[in-house]
Amino acid sequence: MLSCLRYRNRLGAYLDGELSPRLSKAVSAHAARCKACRVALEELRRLAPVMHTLDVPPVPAGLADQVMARARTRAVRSHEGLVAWSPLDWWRMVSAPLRLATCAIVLLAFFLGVGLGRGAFVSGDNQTTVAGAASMEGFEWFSQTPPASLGSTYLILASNDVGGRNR
Amino acid sequence: MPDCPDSDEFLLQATGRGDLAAFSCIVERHQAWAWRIAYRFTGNEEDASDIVQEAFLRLLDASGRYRPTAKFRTYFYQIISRLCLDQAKRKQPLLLETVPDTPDPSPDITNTMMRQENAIAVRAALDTLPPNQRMAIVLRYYENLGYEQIASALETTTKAVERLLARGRERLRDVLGCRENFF
Repeated sequence: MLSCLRYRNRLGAYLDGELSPRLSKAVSAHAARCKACRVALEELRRLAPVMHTLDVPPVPAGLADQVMARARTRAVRSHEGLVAWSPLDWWRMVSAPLRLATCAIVLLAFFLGVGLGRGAFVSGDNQTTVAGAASMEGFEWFSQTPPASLGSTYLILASNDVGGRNR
Repeated sequence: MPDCPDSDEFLLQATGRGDLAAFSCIVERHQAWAWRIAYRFTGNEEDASDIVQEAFLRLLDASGRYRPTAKFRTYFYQIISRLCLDQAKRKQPLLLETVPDTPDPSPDITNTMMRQENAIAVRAALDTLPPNQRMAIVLRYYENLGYEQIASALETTTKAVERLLARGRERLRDVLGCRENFF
C-alpha cells in the first residue's frame, strides 16, 4: 500500500495513462478516499487547458530557405574539404611507406641538428664558449643557457659569425 | 513545398548520400513542429530560429551515419532537445518574454485579454522550471508524447521522465495556482 504522498506523485502519470492497470486502479481508489489527492487530481486536469493558452507564432518566413542556404554552403565546403579539416587528415590519407619516409626524414633532421650543434660546441680553436658569447652586448641574458642546447649552439654560431666578419 | 512521397527515414538516408533535394523535403516537412518545440521551450523567436536551423544542420551532418534502426522523429527529437537544453545552459530565461499576439477568433475582447494574460502567466511559469523539466513538460503537453518517447528524446529512463513531469507539474501548479481564478 502506497503512502498518500507517493500516490500524489503518481497522479500525473495516472492522468497520462502511463500506469499499469493495477496501479491505476489503486490510484483511482485512493483518490476516491482522499480529498487532498482528489483536489490535486482536479487541478492537474485543469492544468492542461491552461497550458494550451500559450500560443506559438507562425514559423518565420524564409526559415527553410535559411537552413537550405547554410546546408548548401556546408555541402560545398565539405566537397572542397574545408569542413572539419584537421592536420591529421593528411596523415590518414597518405600511404604507409610515405608515413615511414616522413618519420625517417624528421628523425634524420633531428639527429643531424643535434650532431651539428654538439660539433659546433666542442671543436675548433677559434670557437667561442657560451660564457664568452654571452658576454657580447645584448646576449647576457642567454648566459644561463645550458651547454649543448640549441640555444647555446645558436649563440656560439652567431658570435663566430660576428668574429669572423670582424677579422 | 516539394512533393515528397518517401518516408523520412528514406529521405535522411538519401541526404546522407549527398542528395540535398531530399534534405529540402525533410526541412519543409518538419520545420513547423521543430519550431513549435523550440519556441515553446525558449519563449523567444530568435533563439528558437537558431535552434531549429542548427538542429537541421546537425541532422545533415549526421545523415551520413544514420541507420534506419531509429525512427526519424525520435532521432530529431533528441537533436532538438539537446540543443534546447544546451541553449538553456548558456542563457538564463528572461521572465515575461514576448508572448505573440495571435488573432483570437472570439470577438469578446475580455476573453482575448484573459487568454493573453494566461499565456503570459504560463510562459513565466514555464521559465521558472529547470530546463529538463521544462523540456519534458513541452514534449508532454504540446507534442503529446508518451513517457517512452520523452525518455528517448531526453536520453533518460521512463521513470526519470515520470519524476521530471511530476516535479514540473507541481511547480506549475504552485506558480499558476497563486493567480486568482486560475484553477
